[in-house]
Amino acid sequence: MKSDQEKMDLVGRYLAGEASAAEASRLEQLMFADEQLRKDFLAYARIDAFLPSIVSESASLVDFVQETETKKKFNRWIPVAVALICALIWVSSFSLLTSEPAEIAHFEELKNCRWINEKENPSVGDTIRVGQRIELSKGQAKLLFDTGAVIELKGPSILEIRNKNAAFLTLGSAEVLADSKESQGFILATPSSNFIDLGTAFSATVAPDGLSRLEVTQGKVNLIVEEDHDSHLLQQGEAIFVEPGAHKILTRIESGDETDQFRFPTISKPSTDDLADQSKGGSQITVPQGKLRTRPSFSPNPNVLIDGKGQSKQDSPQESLFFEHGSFGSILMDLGRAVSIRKINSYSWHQHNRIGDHRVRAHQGYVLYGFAGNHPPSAKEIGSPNSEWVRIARVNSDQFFQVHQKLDRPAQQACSIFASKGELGNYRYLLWDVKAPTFFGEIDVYETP
Amino acid sequence: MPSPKSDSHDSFLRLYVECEESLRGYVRSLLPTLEDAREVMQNTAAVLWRKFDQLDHPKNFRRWAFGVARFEVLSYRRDKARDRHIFGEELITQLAQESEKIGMDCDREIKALKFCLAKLPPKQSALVQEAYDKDLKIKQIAEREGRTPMSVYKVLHRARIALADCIKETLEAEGAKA
Repeated sequence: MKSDQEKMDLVGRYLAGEASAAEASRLEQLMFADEQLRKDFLAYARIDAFLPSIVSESASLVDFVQETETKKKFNRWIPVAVALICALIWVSSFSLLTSEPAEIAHFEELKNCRWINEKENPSVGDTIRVGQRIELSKGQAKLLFDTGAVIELKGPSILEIRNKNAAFLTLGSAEVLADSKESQGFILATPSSNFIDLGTAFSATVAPDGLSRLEVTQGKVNLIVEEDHDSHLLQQGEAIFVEPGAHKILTRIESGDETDQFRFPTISKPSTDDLADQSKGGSQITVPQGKLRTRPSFSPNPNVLIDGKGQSKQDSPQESLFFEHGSFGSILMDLGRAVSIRKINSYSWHQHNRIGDHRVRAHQGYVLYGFAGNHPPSAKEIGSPNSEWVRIARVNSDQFFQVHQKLDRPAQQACSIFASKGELGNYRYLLWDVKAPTFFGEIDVYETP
Repeated sequence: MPSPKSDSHDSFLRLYVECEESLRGYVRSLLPTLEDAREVMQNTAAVLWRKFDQLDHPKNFRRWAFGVARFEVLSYRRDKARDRHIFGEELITQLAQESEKIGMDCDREIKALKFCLAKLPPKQSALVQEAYDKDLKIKQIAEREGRTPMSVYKVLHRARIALADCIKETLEAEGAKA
């Protein structure tokens, strides 16, 4: 730095929030007259800005993006890294021999708890150490970390404490509140992803097969999909599913404004711009399984799913595709050629004209499959071990919205399925195995640009 | 092809991520503490998302984001200036203009900072880690380390100066090679 020590001391004090009024005023006067001092001030401030994300364990959004770009360059460092890791293990083995893992949290509340290992029966106030597994078969346990982070665990759940600001949820359901400064950046890892709190509250659920659900109840959470090094910022009120497996598929479900405009918080409204739209002329919809609802006044028209718009009113059978009451089936879409697909959106709307809480037909429940070849296997094969259909995603909007009563269920819903990174896959045929009495209004399929 | 607004959330995230660090450096340089900068960054991100549909073209996002951040800094200053020692609007505006010129591309700077951080003497490095990883105030670090706040402040101050000098040298050396 070219500015003299006295000036830089003033800069340091100002940017540490320690400068008195007189010092701040003097620095201001000096900076007006001194271009070099302004340059040095800016350089100093920028270092202060960048250091938190560089030294912090919870890297910023940018770091993850950069990491993917520079990953290949790290290969040359592998031998050095291996040596370093060996050295670290050697050093840490001494500390393991000489001391127990650090105590970094304690049980704050325990309600009707039953533990998987009956010999474990912790009491309120008992400390929790790094590496400890908490295996709750029933009840609720509240864990308070020294950093101020709180995890409320609901049985059955298995949680492993990783460090003072991180835990791994193997199974079950956990609510995280991390609103203190020290707990900011709290990481809840699951088998499919890391959820990084950006200063607020969220809940996470992990199903036995690794399907993870994240819901943000307050503030923002950064969802990091580990293998992809990709991140997705979720805001208050948003929720997402992450499918397990090597290729991470995310499902976002949202409730709409219940008008013919089909407005959703982040999911786009029904579109004529998508690949499957009938205006493009390349797609066909058929119903290989199940019986569509028919009435003397109308016959079902599968093309309502690709006409670029949702229903024009809340209860519009003519503009919807749905199965006969009490039966389900499957919907097959032929895109005409194998295409790299980026995103698939489905829309539903139903609110009974007379029965206020009759919204069951808004519920979206299906399993989506894909097939790339020119001759699709029978729809009957889905679910069998030898089936050539590739499962893309599972959708259950009732589970997503945690519907306990009829009125909990939004009357208008959109579901968006996309890959954490890159394409969903390359498919010609898409098959929806429908397991709900949904009034579908539109399905949009977007090609990878 | 999808319309420009059909995927606004994904587009916003991509654009925001691309300039997040530059924006952070910019906001930090206009406010006296990291805490102030964090608050303004949060407000800025919220405004950017809320007004994202007003952006005329994605290529203008960065410039637009810097403009929004500058406005948020000035607004924050007006709220806090009565009880805090924050520079006046005139100097903030001048710093903002100069900062915008250097703030547009911070990738090389961050890379150099990582390189330089590894070269710090161990004691300085440990204190920097403690201060920035745990987000502790100087007084808290002093208590933990059994030192006076002034001695902690001086070590951190010297470390930042050393890092600034090292970054400058590293970037100049890179420039000479190129």
